[in-house]
Amino acid sequence: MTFRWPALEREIRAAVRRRLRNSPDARKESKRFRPAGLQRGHLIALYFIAVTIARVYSGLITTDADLLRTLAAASSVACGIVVVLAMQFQRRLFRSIERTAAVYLPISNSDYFRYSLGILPKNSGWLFLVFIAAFAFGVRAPASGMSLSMILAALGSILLGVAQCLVLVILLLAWRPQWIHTMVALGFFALGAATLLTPAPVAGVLQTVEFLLPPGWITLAFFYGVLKGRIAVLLLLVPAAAVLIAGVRVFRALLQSYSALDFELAPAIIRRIANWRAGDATSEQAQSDDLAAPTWFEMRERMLHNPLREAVAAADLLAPTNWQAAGWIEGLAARWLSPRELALGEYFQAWSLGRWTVHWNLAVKIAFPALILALPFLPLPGWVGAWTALIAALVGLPLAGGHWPAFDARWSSGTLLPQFSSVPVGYAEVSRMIWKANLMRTACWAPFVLVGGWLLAIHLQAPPLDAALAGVRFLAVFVAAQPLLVTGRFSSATNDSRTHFLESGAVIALFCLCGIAYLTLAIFALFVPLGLACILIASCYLATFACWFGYGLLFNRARIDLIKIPR
Amino acid sequence: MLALRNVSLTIEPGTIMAVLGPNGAGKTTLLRCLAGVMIPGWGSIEFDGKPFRRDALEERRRVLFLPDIPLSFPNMTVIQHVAMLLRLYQASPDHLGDRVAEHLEALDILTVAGAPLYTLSRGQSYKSALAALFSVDPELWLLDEPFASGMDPNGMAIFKQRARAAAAAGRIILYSTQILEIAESFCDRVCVIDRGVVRLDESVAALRERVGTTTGVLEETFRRLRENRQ
Repeated sequence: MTFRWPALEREIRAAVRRRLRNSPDARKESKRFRPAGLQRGHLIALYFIAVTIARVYSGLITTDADLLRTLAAASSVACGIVVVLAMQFQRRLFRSIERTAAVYLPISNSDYFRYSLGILPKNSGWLFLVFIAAFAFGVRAPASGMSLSMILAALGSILLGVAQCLVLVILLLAWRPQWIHTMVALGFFALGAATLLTPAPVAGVLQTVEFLLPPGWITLAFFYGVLKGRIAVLLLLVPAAAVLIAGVRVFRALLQSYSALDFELAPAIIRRIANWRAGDATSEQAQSDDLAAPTWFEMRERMLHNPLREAVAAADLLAPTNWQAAGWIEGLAARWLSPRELALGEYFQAWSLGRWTVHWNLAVKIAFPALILALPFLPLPGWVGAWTALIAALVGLPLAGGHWPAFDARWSSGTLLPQFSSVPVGYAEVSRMIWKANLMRTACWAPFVLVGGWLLAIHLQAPPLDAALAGVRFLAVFVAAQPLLVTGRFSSATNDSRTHFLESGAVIALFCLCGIAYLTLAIFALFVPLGLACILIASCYLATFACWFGYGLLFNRARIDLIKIPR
Repeated sequence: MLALRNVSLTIEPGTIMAVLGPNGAGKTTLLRCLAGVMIPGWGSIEFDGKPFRRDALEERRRVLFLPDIPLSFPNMTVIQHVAMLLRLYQASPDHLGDRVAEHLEALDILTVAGAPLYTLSRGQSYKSALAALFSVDPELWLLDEPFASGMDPNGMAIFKQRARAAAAAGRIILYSTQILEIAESFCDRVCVIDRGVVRLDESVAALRERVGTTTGVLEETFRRLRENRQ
């Protein structure tokens, strides 16, 4: 199944060109609507390739540590690229304009699924630039004794890593989260770039993070199993292969269950519509029953007093929603937020209050067993509890800055506009409201982080005070990231990095500089002595606030479109 | 991409202006720029002689932009949507409930006031946004294709009636449309944009006088503009 008819398209294009040739004005006009050639993703990929090749040919890669570092970075960037592709795939499947249009075409679900899948390879051609970089590296790495087979193995390892990423992404698709945030992909890119650019101790920590991901298992297996001859490490390929096999099955299940009509109306919404209609029908029924035998006076009374109108007229339309009723965290937050911030909070959460408490409850359900698993008298390895606690932290903490639907874009007025674009809300006031809310959520979660850290310290036979301080450091570093995350939220609602204006370069440079500075400082701040850590944490705040402030200058002076797609 | 070139409009308070032009001419871009949604590639937007800033909230509260598909959260009810807009625009609480009820009733959406927006038809959704606009009553109304919004004849009539009343009270109403018959009867000035350039900015009365006809003046103007273009 294909939606394209290339021969006809070529014919039409030729006819259009012939007509345009006769009219210089029309030709000039047509240039206005040409899409921009170079996108943000291309720029990032090209930057990575340039840095890698420069490292290879400038002789910076001479040791095994350099080899491992470059492979880890390549895997991370490949992960980022694949996540971007998966986001495109997911959007096309569930939320795209094409999908909406396809509902009205006489095609089957599987046809559309295959069509969406078929577009991916076309968009993923530049993924191979990463492999070219790895190849260039392999050719220029005599110190590590690379032969042609080694080069092929290096390429194979990255390909397998990408396959692993695909599997993960397929699992994500099967789970169908509402969105995979751009920050995830950007995080992978930043991780890859930081691994190459930061000093060795920081890069070592970043590599460790990369090796916790499935692509990293493959890279480790390649490095230690193939290059270093430690056959046992090849066992890491077993879980990787298992994920791959599981992924194929999940992918098939997704294809079979993919449905044309449920992509916009989730079951919960359909149920709400049904309930509302049922309620409406009941009230209509009741009304008709009432009307069955009205007296003349009753009829006149009804005409004089329209209950609906009275209800609206009597409503206090400017009163805030009852935050206390939404949940206890919302209640606490409401005490701290000003009336204007309450209005902004309700608007940016799309009037769906209560999620913070729900997430906290869910996180506690995960955290309690995690803390029990981490208890010292249990015969379980300490990392079991530590990892479960980490997952709980991911659920409970607003790690990506929280969910704020007003930043989401909708197709309107011929383009994708973020919800908040047409209302008078300020950059500073919205940021302040989000910081307060996230700080409140973090404070509510802090006891678990501290208790978890204390238990982990017992496992590691470290002084409990040190563990508590480590927890405090983690929280301080996390809170320091909030300005950066809020700025990212605003940025994600715009096309700031996808236009060819000077501002795009400024925005990308701002995020890269401040992001890398924050990452580097934050990692050091977790491990250095306390006095120095305080200075580094303060520097983290400075870096993230600098990003927030710099972006605010562009935003407030209206140097950034409030449009999601490039114009 | 350059959507607008050398566009400069002076609109007096109390004016209803229709922005006309072929598809892709830059009408919506003009409205978006005036609303602060989009930035001009060149030049600047000034508000009372001062450069437009997004953090000048007092100034921004004087403008309301209503796209052809209004931006609203589907799970909000009509009342919630209107109330939220009123809160964000910091509307005066005087007789607010009465005013909102009156607008909802006039637009025939009082009966669905408690319904979530996702259950409404396109026309009803647009009317909800229009009710919010009437209730906020800003100084500058910016509407993108209000007559192609799926509203029923009563909705359109109420919109015209309220817009006339607002203009009489000194408001500026700027709307884009492709329906020349409506534009001819419902505006004080006409602005025709073509390929990003203002080709015409004139009052309907002056246009009638110049073209020498009382009906179909915009159609005739468009025909002549197209002839000149070719």
